[in-house]
Amino acid sequence: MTLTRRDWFRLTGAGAVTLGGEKLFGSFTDYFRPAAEAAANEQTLITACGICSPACGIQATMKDGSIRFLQGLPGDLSGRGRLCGKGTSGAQFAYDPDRLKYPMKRTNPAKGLDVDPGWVRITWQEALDTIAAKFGDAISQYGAESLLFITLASPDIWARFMNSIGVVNRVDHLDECFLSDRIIQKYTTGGKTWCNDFENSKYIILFGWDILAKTKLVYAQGIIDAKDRGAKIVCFNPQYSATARFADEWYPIKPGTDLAVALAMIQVIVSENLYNKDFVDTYTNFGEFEAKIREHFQQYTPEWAEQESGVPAEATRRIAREFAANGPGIVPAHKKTLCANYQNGSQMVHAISILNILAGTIDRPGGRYFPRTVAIPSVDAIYPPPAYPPKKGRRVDGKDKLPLVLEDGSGLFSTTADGILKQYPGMIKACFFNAYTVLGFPNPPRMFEALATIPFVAVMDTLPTDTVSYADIVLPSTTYLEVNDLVARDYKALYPQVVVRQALVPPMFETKSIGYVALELGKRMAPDYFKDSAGQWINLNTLLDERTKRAGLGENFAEFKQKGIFTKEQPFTPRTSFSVAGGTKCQIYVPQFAAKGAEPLPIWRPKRELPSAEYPYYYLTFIPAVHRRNSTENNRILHEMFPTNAAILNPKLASELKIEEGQMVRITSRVGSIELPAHLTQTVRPDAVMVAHGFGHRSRLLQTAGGLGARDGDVIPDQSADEMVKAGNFGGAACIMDAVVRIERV
Amino acid sequence: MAKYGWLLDPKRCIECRACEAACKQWNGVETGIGVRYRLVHVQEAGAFPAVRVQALSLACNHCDNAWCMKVCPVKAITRRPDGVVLIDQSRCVSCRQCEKFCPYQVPTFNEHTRKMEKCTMCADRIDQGLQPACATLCPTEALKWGLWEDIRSQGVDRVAGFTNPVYTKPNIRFITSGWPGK
Amino acid sequence: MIDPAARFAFAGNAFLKPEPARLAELARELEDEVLAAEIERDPEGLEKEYYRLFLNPQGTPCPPWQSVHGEEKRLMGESHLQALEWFRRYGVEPASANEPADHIGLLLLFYAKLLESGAEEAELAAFRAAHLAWIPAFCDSLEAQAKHPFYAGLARETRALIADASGLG
Repeated sequence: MTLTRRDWFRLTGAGAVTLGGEKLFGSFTDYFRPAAEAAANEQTLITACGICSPACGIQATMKDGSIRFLQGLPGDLSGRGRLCGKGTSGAQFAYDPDRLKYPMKRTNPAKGLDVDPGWVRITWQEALDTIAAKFGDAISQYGAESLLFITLASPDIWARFMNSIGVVNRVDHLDECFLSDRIIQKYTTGGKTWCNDFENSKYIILFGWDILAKTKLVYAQGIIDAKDRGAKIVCFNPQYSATARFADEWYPIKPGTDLAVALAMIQVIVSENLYNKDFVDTYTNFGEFEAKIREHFQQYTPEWAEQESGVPAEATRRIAREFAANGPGIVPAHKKTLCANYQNGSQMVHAISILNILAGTIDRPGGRYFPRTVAIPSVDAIYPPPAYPPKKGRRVDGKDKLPLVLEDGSGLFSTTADGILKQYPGMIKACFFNAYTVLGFPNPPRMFEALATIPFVAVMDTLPTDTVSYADIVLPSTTYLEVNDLVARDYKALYPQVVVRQALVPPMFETKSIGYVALELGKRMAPDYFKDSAGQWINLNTLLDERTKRAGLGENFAEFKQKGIFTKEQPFTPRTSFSVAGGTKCQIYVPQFAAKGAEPLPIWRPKRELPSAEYPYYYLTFIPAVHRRNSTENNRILHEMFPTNAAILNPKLASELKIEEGQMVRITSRVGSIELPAHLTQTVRPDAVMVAHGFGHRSRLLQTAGGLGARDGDVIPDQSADEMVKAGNFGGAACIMDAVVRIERV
Repeated sequence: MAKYGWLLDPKRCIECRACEAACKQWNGVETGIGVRYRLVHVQEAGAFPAVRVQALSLACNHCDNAWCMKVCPVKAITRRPDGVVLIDQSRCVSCRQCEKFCPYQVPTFNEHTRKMEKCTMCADRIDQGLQPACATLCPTEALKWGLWEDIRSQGVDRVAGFTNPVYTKPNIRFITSGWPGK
Repeated sequence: MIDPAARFAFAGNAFLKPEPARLAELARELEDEVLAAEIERDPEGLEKEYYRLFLNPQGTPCPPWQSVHGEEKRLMGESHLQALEWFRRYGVEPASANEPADHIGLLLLFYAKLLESGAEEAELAAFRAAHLAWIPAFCDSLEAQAKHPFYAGLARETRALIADASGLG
């Protein structure tokens, strides 16, 4: 049936059968307008994924302004022209029917998980005015310490806003991630790096980290390359994980005892003089503290480590010798796994750092190296701000009790609830929750309790979160598919590469970026910090053009986004000078630690929770390969692959407890309890239960993920800063998996 | 002889499911009703700690002797000259015989459309000179697609958990050689 | 007023924005004083109910976009693209470029305009089949979930309107 093109005026003129109804039919022009020229039909755009930090390059096929297909970007160092399952499903995030669309405010002052907030839509103007007013009032009445920002410090203009109003209390999830590694590396090798040169490594030791299941392609492809080139991989993990499958040797180590094995490995390498003499003698402080170092590690024999960990002494000794002899060797430390899992995380990352130093692979092929990157100037470099006000006030997360954590800009998720409820009750008057959910905290019920005490809460996110139940104002955020940015590679950076991030579609509904919010709140609360050199308001587009130009990527952003990718191949020149604690050498023994509540050399400490009569089993958590933290469960494609979580048990343990596949099981720890169906597998230790993180949250109203699963965190104790000090947890590990439980049929 | 086939190297699979996601996204396969053209099958064997796990990404094998084609009473399933086997939904009468007879459980009943569906080897992409969506995304070369004349002499024709190929002659090969040894 | 075009236009408006004062005005154009009174009885309640049902930041009980109810169950799916195509054939497009074209309100309003302009029955039937046929089931869900009588009533009215237009009255 062919229809002829009608004239716009035909539709807006008087029809044949109108019987009045001027306003009714007049309303047509409120919602429709003349059609523009036909939109470009099919188009390919380059952008960068935003689901996880390596930000693989994307080639997007667009059809009539809609995202049709996402695939990888040839020439991209991260992903190498491919994407993982999450990245491939990216369009579902932009097109999630539940995504936050308009700013909202509550009209019902009563707050609770099951209380109807009485949402009404407001304009961005009203939302921002309200937030600025509430925050301003809190500061003038109670001081800057009364504001709590639960957010990362990026983008840099957001950090600028927080700095400009003197925010004291900002917390982020880094204590559950890589904080301890960043803290320790500052004093051992000069800084945390994401660059692990697996491709050129010949011996890779993986403590705990299910690196392949995280599907950070840059790492997975690196490991697989290593395998293709005959490298040996040793994996310590209580679970026969996806990574274990790729390992040549796998040890189902007792949870939380990897530190013992790492200490024993150091003992073998040092006592048998197997370390890379050239590197150690030239570039480290080993010589200066040699006696102390040798003496310290003597006690940590492989036999002793076997007692603690269950890993045979023979294996530990042999692996240590192989690691030293058959290099380049690398022991990566990353994110949640082992930096943050257990209370001995700080000691563990120090030990790992020492192993890499002894292997002589710091900033060397096959080892952990520092990124060679293009410097993309920050907003503070382009528009220098006036001096920021000093940050005056009490730290709700207690990080001031941990000198090394205090030096770091991060804040502690795991002590925030305790801070709000016990240490400083009533101090926090206003909160801005950005792109996090309460599920991301250990012991979420306690964090809900804490949230309920805060009089004013603003929540910004892409999706409905449990936190929204306590929000006074909700701000709808853009997804990574709707924003512009420059992404300098820092996970694989033997030479520089920058990839563009460009909006594939204009921000949907009334979503805005956090950069926009930073600017708008800045204009209202700290105008002097948000003007350019001509005294005009900073413009985000101009800022991006300036960044692009000054980084040497092109005249402006529009020009660079045509190219999409900039690569500068250059030879890799290994460092011969390391910027560590004012010196130029890597440090094995860290003299500065003694004055900062830490030990100069790692000592053995057990994990916080040990099996007892009341709680006999280890509690392990993981994030499924197809999900990302707790933000992807509503994505229909990913949901279908992994819709909910289960209590994963070894059949031996299950039969002891008389539990069958699919049967409901209750898992209880000293802080909480969850119920979920059992799933049996031979891949996990028979003294443990494993639960996937990221479920059991969200409103039942969510189209796809609503009401599914159990919150793994309900069983994980949070902590106080004092506890961390007492336990020697100087690097701020969140103990995100440090729990023991009992298990019973329901 | 079919023109195209799959080459699977299970040891390289990291279970990222980019292959599944790409298929869903490209073909607009409905989610949530159990219709999956491509699926990563994870099988475990042995007992802790001597446990082994294998991940096989499988879709339709566009068999040379496709039983689905043979048993369809209304000839809704046909083979293109290049060997790609397709179900014509407009002819399908939902008798579900193909579902019963496929040794690889490939044709799937869609409870909403009331028709059978399966992997099309992204025939529309092939016709444009592109690879099927799944192979376009696989980040580790666990799943490859290419000319059958190149693939058929590689690897072996079956692995544990894959029905004996002698019946329907699926156009797939498996690499079972290990990583370069030490 | 029993002109179906006008009633479609009213339904379209009611789904697009919860402005009680304007809706009451539109109800009076329909010469429906009872409806107008109901709207004016509790305008704040009506507005909150609209957001709770259609734009709830805790998850949308009744997503008013066609593609969410189709196979893909997401925004900007096939029905969005097809609705855009329909609109463009008539030289129009939605005023908001970055929102789905298959919003129930837009579809009803467009149909109202087709009726008002005297479109042929074949055309009307084609549009109904492509973009209104999903609405009765949506109205069932809306009627069940609506806590405010206006929206329960809107669900019933819209369902009846479409049945009538399809000759199933």
